[in-house]
Amino acid sequence: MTRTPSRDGKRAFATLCIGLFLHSVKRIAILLLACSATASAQDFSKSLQPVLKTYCLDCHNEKKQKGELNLARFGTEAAVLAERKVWRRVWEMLHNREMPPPEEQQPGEDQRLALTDWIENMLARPAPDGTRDPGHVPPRRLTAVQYNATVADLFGVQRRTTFYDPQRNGGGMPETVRFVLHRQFQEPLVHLPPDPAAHGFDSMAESLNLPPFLLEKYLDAAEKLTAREDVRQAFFKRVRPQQQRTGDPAEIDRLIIADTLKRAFHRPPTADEAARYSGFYDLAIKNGEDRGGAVAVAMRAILVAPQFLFRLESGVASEEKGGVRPLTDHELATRLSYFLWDTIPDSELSRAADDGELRDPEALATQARRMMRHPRAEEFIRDFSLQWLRIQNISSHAPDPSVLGAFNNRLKNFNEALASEILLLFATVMAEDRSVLDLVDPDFTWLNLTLCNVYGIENRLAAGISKPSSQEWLRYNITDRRRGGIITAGATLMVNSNPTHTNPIKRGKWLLEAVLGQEPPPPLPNVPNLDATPVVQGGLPIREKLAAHRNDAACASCHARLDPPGLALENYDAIGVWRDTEGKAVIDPSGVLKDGTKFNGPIGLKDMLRGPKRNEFVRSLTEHLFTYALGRPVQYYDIATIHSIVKKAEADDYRFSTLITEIVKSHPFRYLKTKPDTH
Amino acid sequence: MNILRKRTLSRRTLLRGAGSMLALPWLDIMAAPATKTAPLRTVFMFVPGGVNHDEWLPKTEGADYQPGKTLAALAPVRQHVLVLSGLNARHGEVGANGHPLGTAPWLSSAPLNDKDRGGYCTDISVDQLIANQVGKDTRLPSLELGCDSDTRNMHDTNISWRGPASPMGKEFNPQDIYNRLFADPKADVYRTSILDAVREDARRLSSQLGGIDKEKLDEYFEGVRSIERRIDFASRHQLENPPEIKLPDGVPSDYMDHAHLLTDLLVLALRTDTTRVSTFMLNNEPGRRHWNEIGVKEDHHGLAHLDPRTDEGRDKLDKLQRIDQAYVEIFARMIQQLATLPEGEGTVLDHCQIAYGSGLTWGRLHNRDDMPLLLAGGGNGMIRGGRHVRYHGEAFADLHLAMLRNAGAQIERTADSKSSLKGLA
Repeated sequence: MTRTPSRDGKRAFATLCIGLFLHSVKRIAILLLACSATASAQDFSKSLQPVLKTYCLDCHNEKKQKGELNLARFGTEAAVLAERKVWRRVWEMLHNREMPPPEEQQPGEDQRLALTDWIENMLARPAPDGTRDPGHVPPRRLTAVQYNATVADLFGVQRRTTFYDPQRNGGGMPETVRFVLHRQFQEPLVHLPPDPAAHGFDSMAESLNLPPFLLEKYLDAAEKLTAREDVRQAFFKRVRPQQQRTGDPAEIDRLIIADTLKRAFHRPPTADEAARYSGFYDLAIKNGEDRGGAVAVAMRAILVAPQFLFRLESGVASEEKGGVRPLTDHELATRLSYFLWDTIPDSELSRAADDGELRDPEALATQARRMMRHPRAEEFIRDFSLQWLRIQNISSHAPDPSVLGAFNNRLKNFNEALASEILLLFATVMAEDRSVLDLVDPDFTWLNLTLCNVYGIENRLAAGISKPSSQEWLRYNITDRRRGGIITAGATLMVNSNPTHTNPIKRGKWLLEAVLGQEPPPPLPNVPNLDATPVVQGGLPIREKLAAHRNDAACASCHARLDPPGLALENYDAIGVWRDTEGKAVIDPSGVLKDGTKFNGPIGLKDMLRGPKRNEFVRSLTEHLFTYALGRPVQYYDIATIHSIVKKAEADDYRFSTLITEIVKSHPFRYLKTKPDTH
Repeated sequence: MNILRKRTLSRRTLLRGAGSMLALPWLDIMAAPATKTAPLRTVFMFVPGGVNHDEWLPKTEGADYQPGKTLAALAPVRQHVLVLSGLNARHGEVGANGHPLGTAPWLSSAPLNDKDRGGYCTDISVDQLIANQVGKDTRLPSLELGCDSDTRNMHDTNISWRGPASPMGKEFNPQDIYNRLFADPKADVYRTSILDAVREDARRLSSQLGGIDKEKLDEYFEGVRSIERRIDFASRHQLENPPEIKLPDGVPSDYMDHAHLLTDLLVLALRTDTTRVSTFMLNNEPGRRHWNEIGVKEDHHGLAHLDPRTDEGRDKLDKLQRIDQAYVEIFARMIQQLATLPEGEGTVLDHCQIAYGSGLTWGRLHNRDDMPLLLAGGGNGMIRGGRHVRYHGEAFADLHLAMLRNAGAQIERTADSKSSLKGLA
């Protein structure tokens, strides 16, 4: 048989493809094996089944089935894998120590942890039939932050950008920034109550509820906003000059209303909606309002409509397999826009949605890259980074005057400066598309006069400035790694301290949750507070107090996780000032993580996070970003997605933009399960 | 020009001194027809973090009880206040974080293992049960107040719930509260038609949804309906002369000023019969305030967690007591105001039942038995103050039930209640 060269070429190409494919499958398999190494079949039958038998099966067997749960039927690992949802619940019960019930015999903490770790690893594996659940996101009410940004953009009210404008700054951050943080201190356009948070963020669909008084606030806000002179003038600014000249005024006004509807409802309005909301215009004209007043009435209605106040994705019934459908272009544009800007799409993103481009994941990523360089991304930097690092309430943190010392009378400036350092760090990593490891261990940091004083660094003057000022932020090279990055920043050190003294447990818990992405189990009920344990009274250094606390077996299992990373930061006092001693004792900042990783002090922690633990840090950041982007918590079916995003980031030097674009391109971001999970 | 004629009461019209505010009884202000018996008003006041129970619990029972330091602050209103001890919140499994458990189910006694999506037990609270019963007769079915605007942790910051996972929220800005009470809810000619339209949109959207998606739209739908009910009520009962009270710009920065102002507004709401049901959180759990104004620089939560068996804990128990006393003084001041307002044959206070307490007993232990509780007012003849009544482990829900029955609800039982609490009169 003869073959033409071209067919040969094709075949060779096909072979190569299959080879590459198999190669990558093998790699994935190896990765998955590696990540589930502790969850081997042997573990299940030898070490886990006996634990289940001793502590769970008495109530959860064929006969008794308490809580309609029979755990006896899970004889093999495959059986467990087939019903992950059940095991997710088992994991929760064990993790939260709700089971076994208090009156029953309890497993040792080590047994409990072994069991929860095993379940966690098991849940991370892909489903046997290869189906992928993108998850369901309930209707998301706009948060107070999103509402304010959205109405500002809807009506063209100017928003000030204070520190983020990479396009103007030649693609990065400049060497000097002049700004004063005002997120917590500036008047928002509309005062709305703070939103309830869950899973660390106030933008979670589930917890964003709408009590009656809040709806009244929306009604009032809509009336006040549409009565503003600048807003009324803005109505007519969006009309194209051509229409202005030739059109019938009422026709122009209807176009204005239709255009606002499209942007406010996150999609083109239905004919019925367009007619209904224009109806308010007609009604107002009939009542003798002028054009501005009549358009304002229609706008008022739009601003309290459920289609505006909620981002609705699931309203479209789906016939597709498994109730999963791809998001529409406008839904994708809206997700992307609220993820990176906290507001509605701009005209370029809307155009891309209108032209049907966004269903192509690469086009979506291109938009995301553009948006990350837009000044509006400052909204994301503030909203995400402060909540991720749990410092969103820093402005109300009040250290004791004895700790604050010279900063006592300038508390507001002080708190603001600490938060600003974090924002500028995050902004720099984003603007310059640096490795996200720079968030932990950068070779630069941003300081103003206040922070120079806190950190004991000599203040430089900005070019053209003759007097030091707290408004001038300069970029400094890091020569001493005890400073720079999120874990040695005054903001996180202070917020995780008590007013009068450091709190290594809080710092440890924070490091585990925010930085390493571990969820420490909640404290055991009725465990005495550290200071309340009689044996640890009387001026012992904190390390020894904690050691005494750990002597108690009930406390030991968790504190062996919590204390060491927190103790590594003991050289920073309750506002983040460096110290070598606590009282008379020289501080010993060395420690070992629960898994055996050793480190020494803050630099040791940074080495660990740049080194062996870097993927855990990147995974934690990814999970936080993913949660924030989707407005729902990470579920067991997301674990494989998260894993692959982290791997892609690793292959690209952990670039910030890779994390963002991989999230945006992921299955859960672009698809939707139309029906909610049953609770 | 636009002709929106919104009847919001601007600050200008209000700044005419608080002195005259205490002059008019409720019947003169409301155009509602006079009835023989004044309606019963129900209030729940909440303080965070439990108490220094050693200084709270009176040593003796009955009318001649000996108060400890904290309740000595009740002296000016002693005859109007019942001290209730020995009542227990509902028990079940013991959760880890006691603060939300002391708060979210405080007024519902929801079973602890029946958790909402946020991981805590919530259900319709007793104030809302009462509002469902009597709310239709007033401009505002119920009024939720709090001194702390933060609602980030839903379960630490709400005691009033419409149902599981659905808090009522609360107001903290005095001007907003005043407007909510006395401004015309209709605002202008367009509001009702706008509400019609968006209600229709919500109904249409909701009909396509299920589960939590539907719940979200239903919350919206309920919100629209509650505003429509208020507009409807206001149109049938015209408010001739809105009462006057001096209000500052924005929210007072001083805590005591703020708390006093909110109690003043609450008194105003009660005496004008603008609402008959209210909850007031003097602070959120876990009570992170620093009480510099009474010389306590530590935060309340930190103090509450000290163990009296330690030197430090023993030394600082006194500070905890001073915080408890400061809260009780706010309560006593309000009771005193209500006791001086004539209404019908007696005073407004005679027609009130006002419960005061914390969701925890000792903050340190997160325990919820032998809870610190006070009950003030005449309860339309169903409460007789001036005594310390000691119970023996009866359910806090028994008190809920008694207050529900006082308010006229035909309810057999609520949560873990066994029977309506006896011994109140």
